[in-house]
Amino acid sequence: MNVLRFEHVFAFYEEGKDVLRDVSFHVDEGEFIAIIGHNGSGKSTLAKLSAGLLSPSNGKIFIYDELLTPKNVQLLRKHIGIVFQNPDNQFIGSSVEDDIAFGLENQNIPREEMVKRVKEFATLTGMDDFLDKEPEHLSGGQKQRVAIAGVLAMNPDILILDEATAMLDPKGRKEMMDIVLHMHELNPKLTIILITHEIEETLKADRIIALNDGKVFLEGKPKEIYAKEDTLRAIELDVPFFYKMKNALTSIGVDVSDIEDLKTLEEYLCQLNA
Amino acid sequence: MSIKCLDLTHTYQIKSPLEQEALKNINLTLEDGKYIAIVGHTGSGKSTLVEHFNGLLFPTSGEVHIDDYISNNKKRKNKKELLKLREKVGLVFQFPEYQLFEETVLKDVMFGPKNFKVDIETAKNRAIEALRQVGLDDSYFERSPFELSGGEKRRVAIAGILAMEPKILVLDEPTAGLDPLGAKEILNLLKRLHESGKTIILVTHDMDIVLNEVEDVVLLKDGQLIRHADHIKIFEENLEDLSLEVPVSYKFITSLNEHGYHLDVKDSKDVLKLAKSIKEEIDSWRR
Ligand SMILES: Nc1ncnc2c1ncn2[C@@H]1O[C@H](COP(=O)(O)OP(=O)(O)O)[C@@H](O)[C@H]1O
Ligand SMILES: Nc1ncnc2c1ncn2[C@@H]1O[C@H](COP(=O)(O)OP(=O)(O)O)[C@@H](O)[C@H]1O
Ligand SMILES: [Mg+2]
Ligand SMILES: [Mg+2]
Repeated sequence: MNVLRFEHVFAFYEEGKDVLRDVSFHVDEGEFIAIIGHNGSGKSTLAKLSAGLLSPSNGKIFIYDELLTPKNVQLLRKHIGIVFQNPDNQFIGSSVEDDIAFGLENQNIPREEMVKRVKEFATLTGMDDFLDKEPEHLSGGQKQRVAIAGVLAMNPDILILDEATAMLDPKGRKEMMDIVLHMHELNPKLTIILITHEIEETLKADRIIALNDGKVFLEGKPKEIYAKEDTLRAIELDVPFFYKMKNALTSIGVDVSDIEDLKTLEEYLCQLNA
Repeated sequence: MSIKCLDLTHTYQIKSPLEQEALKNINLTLEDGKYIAIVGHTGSGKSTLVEHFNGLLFPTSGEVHIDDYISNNKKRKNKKELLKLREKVGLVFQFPEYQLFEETVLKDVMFGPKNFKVDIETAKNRAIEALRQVGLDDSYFERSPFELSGGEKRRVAIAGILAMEPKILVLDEPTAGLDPLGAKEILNLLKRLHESGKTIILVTHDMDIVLNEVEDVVLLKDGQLIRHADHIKIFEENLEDLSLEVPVSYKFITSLNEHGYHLDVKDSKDVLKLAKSIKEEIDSWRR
């Protein structure tokens, strides 16, 4: 089953200026999809459309094989948890606790269970000491942690992270990614759509969609996408170190075609000097 | 024109329950003309340290010597001297684009020099020159800063500091939050400025920048100086214990070198060159 499907989707903010043009793709249940592309390529627009926060000007969007319409958008939106790029846009509560709880309040969850979940996800994201603090006094990175806690607490079927860790330091970013991947392991039905500029984060994705100038530029498994280094380079998108090295070695006649990750490549090259 | 910290200590909100010793007995000399990175975990004191370099913060104890300006907790701050210091040392804050406010790009960049009592004509010429340096041509001058991309906005903010013609340029996390292309533009700009003779001091978490861009590194932990060294030597420290991420390329190269290869970590960006060295080594073993 496709949890999300775009069929020939167009979108604009101003009449006559299409920012997505004829975008088609599908996402299966439990998949981990990474979306890459330059600023302005249309990634956030794609995220907003998926969450029903913006309507396509043309084309169709399906959630769990059901056509998204103004009538069912409220209902279908319940499947989706989204963390936006700018955490300032999504704070409503007067305390961190209220903010994490906000999404749960619409889910008719008993008060006791709610308090428990808020505490659990605040602890998981390292924000448990901040529950009574006002969100506006937090740093950008702390706000992003709170936003992630809030959306994970809702236990969504489809999790969309739109540059959700860009303001964290590398360690914080890794912590948040590890949490998300762990949730994915616990619940293989959880579908993850990760929009990121951190190219190394895309290595673990099942598939990658590269957007360019409002269109799907490339789509496929990481090893398929990153084998096309020159194609990506042509639009100045970067390639993870492992694939750069694999492609370079291949190009000068060192056969490493079967190797699928950096650790294995390292081990293979090291044992040659035995 | 060097920067010298002598037993520099900085305590925030002293004698309150929130007292926080952000810098402890830092002794450090940053030489003229260098390209230097200040690295450390979040909260290690990086921003606090660099805000001493242009008189935005003053030591709680100890001293900072910037050229002939001496900053300590005793002296009453002479406004004129401070202004002179800020002309020499330009500080670009983290997310500086949040501080753009004029209605055109050119006006925004002119704001700095105008503040230093430069006449309008000179301020304008300097602003144009600064915008040229950051790669924004005259098609940008009359545009509103708010309609630019994140990377462009940041370059406008940097131009605003460059227009004051500082000898030392200090930037707090200048690539944070930018997309890779925007970050690359900033780094290319800094490289050019350094080559033209400016001292560049940047705060960063990004160890790829440390590996590939700068000359020297100042490593902080919990407000203390752990090491001040050449950018390659700094990788001898246990960086992961300091919450810093060692670039995958660096780990790969050192791991291979431990198994008989002779790769140069300075080539970490030139993957084809590395691959050729690997092949040569393999071929020599086969022979
Ligand atoms: N609210 C908006 N109003 C008008 N134009 C917008 C708005 N949001 C985005 N755009 C434009 O749409 C295009 C795609 O933007 P976006 O989806 O945010 O890209 P990305 O997330 O890949 O950076 C860009 O040209 C951007 O300027
Ligand atoms: N204005 C302030 N008042 C109180 N404590 C502060 C203030 N600014 C920073 N700190 C504290 O000082 C320490 C160092 O902060 P900072 O220099 O901003 O670190 P970094 O830039 O390395 O993240 C941190 O513990 C921080 O919480
Ligand atoms: Mg976006
Ligand atoms: Mg800082």
